[in-house]
Amino acid sequence: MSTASAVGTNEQVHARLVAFLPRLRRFCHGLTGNADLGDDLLQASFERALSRLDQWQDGTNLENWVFRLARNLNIDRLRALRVRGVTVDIDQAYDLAGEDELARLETRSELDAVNAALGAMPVELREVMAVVVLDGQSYRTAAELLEIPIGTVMSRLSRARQLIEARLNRTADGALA
Amino acid sequence: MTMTDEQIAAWLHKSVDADQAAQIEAAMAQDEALAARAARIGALDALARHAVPLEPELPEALRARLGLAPAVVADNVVDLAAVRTARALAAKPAATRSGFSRSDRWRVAAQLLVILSVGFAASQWRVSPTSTDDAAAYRALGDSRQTAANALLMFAPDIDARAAKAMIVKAGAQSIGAPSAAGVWQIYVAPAQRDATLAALRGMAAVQMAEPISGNQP
Repeated sequence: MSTASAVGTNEQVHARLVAFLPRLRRFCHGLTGNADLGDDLLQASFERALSRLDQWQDGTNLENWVFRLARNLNIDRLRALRVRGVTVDIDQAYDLAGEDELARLETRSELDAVNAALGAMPVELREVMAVVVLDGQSYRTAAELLEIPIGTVMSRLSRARQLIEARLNRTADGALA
Repeated sequence: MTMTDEQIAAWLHKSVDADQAAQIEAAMAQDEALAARAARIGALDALARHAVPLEPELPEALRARLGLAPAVVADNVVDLAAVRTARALAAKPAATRSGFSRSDRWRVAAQLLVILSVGFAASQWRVSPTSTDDAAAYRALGDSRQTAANALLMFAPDIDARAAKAMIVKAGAQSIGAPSAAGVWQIYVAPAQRDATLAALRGMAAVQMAEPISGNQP
């Protein structure tokens, strides 16, 4: 590839990355369960993508490559914070589901309740919510991106939804009380 | 037909094949409870998407953080990151700030002195003997077509050129040519933001030196 065409390609890829940022921002918000942390993750992911662009293989999905970078950075962040979400036994995730955390959080609306549930649930559940529900990816793509079986994608989505519903019910009970 | 919520959700998420989709749709047509469960699952997903909305445009401040727009500076806004950095620097002994030891400082100072001396000598030879432009010394070291540098930057030894460029761009600066043999980058920063940008760069652990070019005032 000539230098001129390489520069042209880099500019095109950069433009594609910039156009992708709104989606990435929503994904990062979903991954972290928090808008501010999401923006921090977005910035780190964008910088990581720019600095490692030579590792992206032309012909593969650029956006999903960046999603993977964001996911790995989020896992690193959680490990640094020693958050249990990363190592939690997924079969017990619902039982661990942060009932105390949920009870502690006060919410005043359904959207607050959903955000509170997202923030409190284990990161594995947030990941499938971010990929499938927020970004609209297929189960197959989610399974590839998260490196888990499709059946696990389905079960994690179900558990995430149960947590959100539980939080919504709690909010509704609180409003009636 | 018995149907789990996971199967219903897979249908909602278009992750079942055509035969399964037809079965589920036929079952829902005959089972109101099943249709209600599907509606409930769909509503929860919609609520989640609404709670974490897709904003078509990034806020200007965030674009600035990403190096996509000029930094937003307002009198009534405190850059907490800069304050934290300054506080952290003030709390550390001078010799260990940014992992930059006293011997490192002497090394950088010596390198800078060599660069300045060679650059000045070269500028006297290549430019004009009567030139009073202090930037000439730096022009003489690099590409003569790029003469806008108004600051110098040096990174920690483990920072490669790609990462260095990314940090320069993120800071809202522009690199002028390649780094010198000593690893010093010439950069250009918008004059009004030069001091603030250099201060922010100094606060980064990866940056060993960020200094304005003396005499080349904005």
